[in-house]
Amino acid sequence: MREIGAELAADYDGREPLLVGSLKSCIPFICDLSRAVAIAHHLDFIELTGYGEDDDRIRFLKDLDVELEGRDVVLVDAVIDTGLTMHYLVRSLGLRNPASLHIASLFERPYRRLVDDLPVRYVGFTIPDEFFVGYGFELQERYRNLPDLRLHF
Amino acid sequence: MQIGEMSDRHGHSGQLKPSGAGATLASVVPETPVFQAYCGAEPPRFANPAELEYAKVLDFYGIPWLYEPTTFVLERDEEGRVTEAFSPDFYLPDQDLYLEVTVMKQSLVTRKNRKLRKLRVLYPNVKIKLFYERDFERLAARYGLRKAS
Repeated sequence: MREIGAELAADYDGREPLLVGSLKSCIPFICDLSRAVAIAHHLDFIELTGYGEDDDRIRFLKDLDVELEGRDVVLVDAVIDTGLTMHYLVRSLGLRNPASLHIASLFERPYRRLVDDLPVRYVGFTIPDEFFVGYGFELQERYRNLPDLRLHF
Repeated sequence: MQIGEMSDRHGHSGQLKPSGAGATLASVVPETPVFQAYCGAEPPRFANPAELEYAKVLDFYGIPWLYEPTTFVLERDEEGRVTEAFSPDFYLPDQDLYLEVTVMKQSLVTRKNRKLRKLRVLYPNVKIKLFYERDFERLAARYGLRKAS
């Protein structure tokens, strides 16, 4: 976390980046990351519908509270897996003319990626193809609160 | 942060429920949703419910896709007749990526893996990913999807 925070702070020094968290699994990560970024920055959040809910198409459940025009934006998520959600976010938020748009993810599974053109700039760890809970990761909304990441059978 | 282990005491991990009393999904007439990101001319005819679910996932995220648009010849006999070929299930034109979905048990996918290796040798520029039953079960656990038993 300290390494990502320091790298991000160095890259955006003097630019007051906007960290955009994708609810809900990002919450522990973005809180820890924000504390590790030792430059002025802003926070905002979005929430998207998930596959398997009622909608037949992904859409915003909660949009940003601020405009992105001319802002340096860092999308923050807990994990990039297929990349489909991030792909949608990058396409959608890219239309709002930010000065820059990059991705910070605590974990990634690059071997499961279906989209390759994501602007991923900061990644904590590449994780194995296992199901995890805790530290924001849930199973049917359970276990998000666990302080550690745990392997789920 | 630590990485530990946890068993599912609540019994809700990847439970795959039949769609109705006495029915298996394999016997249910596949639904034919109107796809928004499908790029083909003819309606796709999926071979199994898992393919349909993957199509719905791609469609949900607005990823343009085609169903079995290409057949790759893997082997011909001495007369030049095709003796082995492979048609990946999906093609994502924006990603230039083929996807093959299999719901066979991991131990039974040897033949498909062999075909895939062959394809990679003969067509080294073709990008293809194979999704196994365990991948589908992960999706099912996360989204409550269903499949034939």
